[in-house]
Amino acid sequence: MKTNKIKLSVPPDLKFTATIENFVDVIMPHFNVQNRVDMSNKLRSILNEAFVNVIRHSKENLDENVEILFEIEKPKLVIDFHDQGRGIQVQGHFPPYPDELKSNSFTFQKTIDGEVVAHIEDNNTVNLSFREYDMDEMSAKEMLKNVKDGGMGLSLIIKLVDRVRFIYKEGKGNRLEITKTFEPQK
Amino acid sequence: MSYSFNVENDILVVEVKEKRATVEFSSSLKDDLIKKIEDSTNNVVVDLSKAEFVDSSFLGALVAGLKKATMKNGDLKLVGLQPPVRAMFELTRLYRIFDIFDTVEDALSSF
Repeated sequence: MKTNKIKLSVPPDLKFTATIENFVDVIMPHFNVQNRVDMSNKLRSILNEAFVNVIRHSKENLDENVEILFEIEKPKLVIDFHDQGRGIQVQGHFPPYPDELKSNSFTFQKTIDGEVVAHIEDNNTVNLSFREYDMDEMSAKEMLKNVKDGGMGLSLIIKLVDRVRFIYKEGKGNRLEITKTFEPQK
Repeated sequence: MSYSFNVENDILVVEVKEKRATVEFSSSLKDDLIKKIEDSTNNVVVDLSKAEFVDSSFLGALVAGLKKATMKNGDLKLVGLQPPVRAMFELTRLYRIFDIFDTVEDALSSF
């Protein structure tokens, strides 16, 4: 199957968040999905949260545009957010990660309903997953005590897609790679 | 302005006026909301009936408001969640900590 690539280059400024979200209307027609409205809303959330995350974490290089690559390989969509930042910090280390972290998993962020887990695949690659808490046991009061007003973005992306990875390349910056398979309409 | 404040029966009513309730104004909303709760009211209703899309940054502003209100023994309640907005509250499980109503009147009379 042929992969079609569409590239977007956006100034690293939050006022362009809506511009990126509007790419939903460019991408979704390429996929034959059930619940088109619901899927479009999910893709809108993914684009919003990923862009905001990239802007907030590439503070040191805010002159460079963020490059966004959409790879359409039906029914799979891969979205790469590429920036010139240092990558994500795990256990106090930016990539390349030391060998002792390799193949290990660490709690990266906590949210009201679980935690984002960072698994170091190799010296330059982190795979993110979400470990959900048993919510039935918790009262609203307890939950309110734990809830923070930030850091929900990554957990949202993870819940909405199949795979989330940060891949660092020396001299070439950092890449947030998001993979989502759209179940085709039956 | 993307949102407005009104006071009804000593309850602060925040009306979100945008279809996209997102990062572009979430931090100013958060600051304004916290200040209002600190200075005067401890009960808040946020009317989201115009919003068709919310992001985590906006949800964070609501969480900050709820925490502040409960610290003063008040509450922050939500009104008018359209289906895509409701879906976000379900995905983040935040519906568990917010009281959600269909109309502003229902929310006001619940205090």
